[in-house]
Amino acid sequence: MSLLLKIEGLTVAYESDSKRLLAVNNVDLEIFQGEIFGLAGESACGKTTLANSILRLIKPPGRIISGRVIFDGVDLLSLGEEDLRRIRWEKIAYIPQASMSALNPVMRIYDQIVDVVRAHRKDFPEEEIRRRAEELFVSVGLAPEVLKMYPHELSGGMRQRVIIAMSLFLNPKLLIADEPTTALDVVVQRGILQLLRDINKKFGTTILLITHDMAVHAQIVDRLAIMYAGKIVEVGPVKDIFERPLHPYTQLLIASIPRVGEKRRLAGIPGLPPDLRNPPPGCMFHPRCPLRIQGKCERVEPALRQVSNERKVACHLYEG
Amino acid sequence: MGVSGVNLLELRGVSKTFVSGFLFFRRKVVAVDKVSFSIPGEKPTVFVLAGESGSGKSTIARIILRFIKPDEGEVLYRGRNILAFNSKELLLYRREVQAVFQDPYSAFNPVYPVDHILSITARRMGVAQGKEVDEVIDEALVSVGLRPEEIRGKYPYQLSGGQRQRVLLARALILRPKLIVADEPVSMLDASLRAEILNLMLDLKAKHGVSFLYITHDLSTASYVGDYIAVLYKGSLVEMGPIDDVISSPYHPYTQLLMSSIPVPDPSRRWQERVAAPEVSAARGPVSGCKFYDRCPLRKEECRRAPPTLKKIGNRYVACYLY
Repeated sequence: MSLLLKIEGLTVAYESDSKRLLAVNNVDLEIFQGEIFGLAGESACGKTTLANSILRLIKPPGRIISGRVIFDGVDLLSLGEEDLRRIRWEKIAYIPQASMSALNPVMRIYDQIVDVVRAHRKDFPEEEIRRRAEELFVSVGLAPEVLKMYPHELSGGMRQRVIIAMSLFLNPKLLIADEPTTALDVVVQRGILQLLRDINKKFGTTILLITHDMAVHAQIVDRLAIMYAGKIVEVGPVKDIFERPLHPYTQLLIASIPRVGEKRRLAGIPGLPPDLRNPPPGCMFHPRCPLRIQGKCERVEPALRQVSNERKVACHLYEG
Repeated sequence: MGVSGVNLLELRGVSKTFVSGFLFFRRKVVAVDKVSFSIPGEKPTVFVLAGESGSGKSTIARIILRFIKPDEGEVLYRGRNILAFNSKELLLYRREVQAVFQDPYSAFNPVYPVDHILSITARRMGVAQGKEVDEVIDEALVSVGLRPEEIRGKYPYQLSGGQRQRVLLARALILRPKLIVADEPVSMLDASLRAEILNLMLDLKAKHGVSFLYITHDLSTASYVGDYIAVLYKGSLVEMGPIDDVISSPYHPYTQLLMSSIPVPDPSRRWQERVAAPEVSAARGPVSGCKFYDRCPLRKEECRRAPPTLKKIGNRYVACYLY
């Protein structure tokens, strides 16, 4: 498989008068052509900031401090604003959190699609837009009549399908979806997740799926990265991670998920994520880690290392 | 379930309709439609009220807490209608039935330390006076797994979501409640903190004899803490019974659909067949028969005629023409 997106040493900071907080801290990530890649982690671990920085959507007081984001051979972080604008939506479509609530309530769906297309491609012929919209609506499981409707006439799941159809309009290579099913009911969630799988299969679209919900990752992603306090702590095929999680954080995270019909007492993770304005020395997870090595973990920060063919982990337990 | 005389809480044919819009655009929304269920009083129980958004589960919580009045039917607490309480009974009800909500931040007044909500509760409800107040507060904080010296004097923004939810459970505990209405208490919490709050609910049931009405859309957490479950669909009960039975073999097609849609946190057990439940447009006229008709894979002609009633099958209740 060929590499589609390569993130190297990406660091994003939020700065106030005197303090600097690293929301994304020296992150390396590789996403291959045609895969569904999952990014997991709990709230405020930096998932969304990482997604935003791929398309340089970080707003002050946030700032990308260092790193490279190489998409299809081009470093997006050094690209001019006009060139970057062409990549957004045309090459990389981004569905931010809660975008299904961002549809204009007083415009018909079709008119909104025309608006978005024209914003990027002024010369796109009208009949082409209609043809493509109808074709995509069928692909995402919506009747073409929905084009004539207003957002309030649609259910949450239908609105999310509209957003997905719009994101696919110019046949992007990469689709980034941030918590696309979080506000939806389980039945509808299942339909949307199956749709993402279908799109991946049918159009070969690479998908970066961001969600805190480990069960969702287990159901649809191929490879998974676990983020904690701004850092990637583990990467690997989703099956391997669930079968044998390496990082103690991943182990505890998986043990804290309730499974239907199981009454085994859930573990939970004692303590709290660190205050990133005053991060702990050494490993970010050491204050909560049941397996910490005294004298090492609180002093030396573990690097994300390759431990087997397809797996990487940032933990001193797997060194040497 | 159980004889009405000993039930802790019982709903009998409770209905609530909301009217929205104005003049020609008036629209009636039946939020709760003749719902009946009971939480037994013999021993502490976690009764789950499950349903999707718009199923009416939070409206039921608000009716039980007397925030709104039902249009029809009645709510009985220990056999007495909660709307017919005299002032003394009402005070007792306000002590014995407590609530915990989804957002553990909005329950606090941000300008006061979190002790405030605890001491106000203890004083106003006549639990303790003077120096005893501090003892009562510390005891409640310890019961929910918090260290009083770490929590007291802190402002709400200084605590995590899990800690705030614990403080609110401590507040409820001060009043020695018999029932806590918990409306999505963990849905805003991260997985690691969620597990701790669910465990705390189980501990409060076992050690303090507290029953819960656990309202949620999340059947995984429901199955972890629940004893009984009632499944709501668009304001109507479709299935009710012991939770392990309902989850292992759901009878109603909607419960079956719900169960098969829960993502299993195991990549080697992925969804195989596709789900064939059409999504229904938000703007839809009233339905005369079964409300699940247009999404039901097993529908029959008779389902359109009249809404099915709740029938008893073994230890379970199901509202479906298949049975």
